Amino acid sequence: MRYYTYLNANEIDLVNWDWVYESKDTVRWDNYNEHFIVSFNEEYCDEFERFNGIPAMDHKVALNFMNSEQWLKISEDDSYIE
Amino acid sequence: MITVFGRNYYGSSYVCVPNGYAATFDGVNDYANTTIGLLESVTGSISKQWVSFWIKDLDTTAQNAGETMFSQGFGSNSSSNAWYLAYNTRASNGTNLNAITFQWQSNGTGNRVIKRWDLFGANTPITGATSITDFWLVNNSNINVNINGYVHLLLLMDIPPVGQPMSTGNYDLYWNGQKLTQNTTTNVEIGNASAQVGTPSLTLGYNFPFNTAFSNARIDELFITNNSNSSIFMSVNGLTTDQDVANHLYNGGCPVNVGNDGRWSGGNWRFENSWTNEGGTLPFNPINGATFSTDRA
Repeated sequence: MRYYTYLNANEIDLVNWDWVYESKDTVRWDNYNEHFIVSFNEEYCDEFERFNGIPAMDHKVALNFMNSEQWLKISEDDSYIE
Repeated sequence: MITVFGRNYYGSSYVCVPNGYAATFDGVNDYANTTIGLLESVTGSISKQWVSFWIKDLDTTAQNAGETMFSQGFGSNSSSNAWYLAYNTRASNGTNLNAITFQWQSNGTGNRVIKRWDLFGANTPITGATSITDFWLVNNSNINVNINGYVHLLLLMDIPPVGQPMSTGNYDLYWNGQKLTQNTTTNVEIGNASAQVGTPSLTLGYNFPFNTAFSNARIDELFITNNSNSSIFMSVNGLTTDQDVANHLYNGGCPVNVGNDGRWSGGNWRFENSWTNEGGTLPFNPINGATFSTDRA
């Protein structure tokens, strides 16, 4: 099972990229470029929680989190839809 | 199609391609892209091109973000030849949409086409969605899907040649072999078609040029034709009309075997635990953990 967490921008060089599915160049950033999201297997949940103090999110929670104002991207396409 | 003793029978005239896997995307941050795109306006005459695939939406609740089925273009650059097809339950402000949107932005917002197909209203008999809030979700039994929960979508286009008005093209969407009625009030057809410049990426699970709309979905049996091989495919298979193409690719509800023929296999990805196309020339590159599932079409 895959779990998710988010980290601060200034922590990007502290990530052990062997533990996560992402790479430094491809991580998804929030709308303010302040946080990025990474995902990992269950064995690393405790490590990340110790690191940032946030319980790892399962897929359902992460999906809802991406729907928040901080992460939901409003594109030119959306402006058309409105 | 009937099910007997756990086996699926689609009728004697339908032969299904052996299928064990589909590509799967988490809707959070993963996607897959190629180094070359296939769709383009060409010089001289209108060209028939299509994007055919099976898709299973995995969302259980409506989201305020679109779900990209495919896109083509340059990363975070929608100004030049940006293409996408996406499903929206809602707009980002929460307004209900329940519609599929296609956009080809050939050269800025002054040269583009946008088509919208509502899943409800005139399209209810085709999609099963009974209203603007009867969303295409994995747990909605109203939606017309095949035995494995997948929908076959075919974006069938007659792409105008370079320099000709976008309005001279045709852009139709077929749901399980049936042509959807367009929402004409949201149509946009302005400006002219432009030649492809550079090498854009074809992307699944994410709107790469618009940098938005990750997709929580599975995609299987992707088949894209461009300007020349669509006519060859139609001729070889005895297909005369657009509806013939739709019927052939829908295949009564199970993925058809399009054949590993070098004339069109460069645009055929089966995702049988592999990101490489049947032609072996254009693999998708999985990004941020995109993978495969045995829950296939």
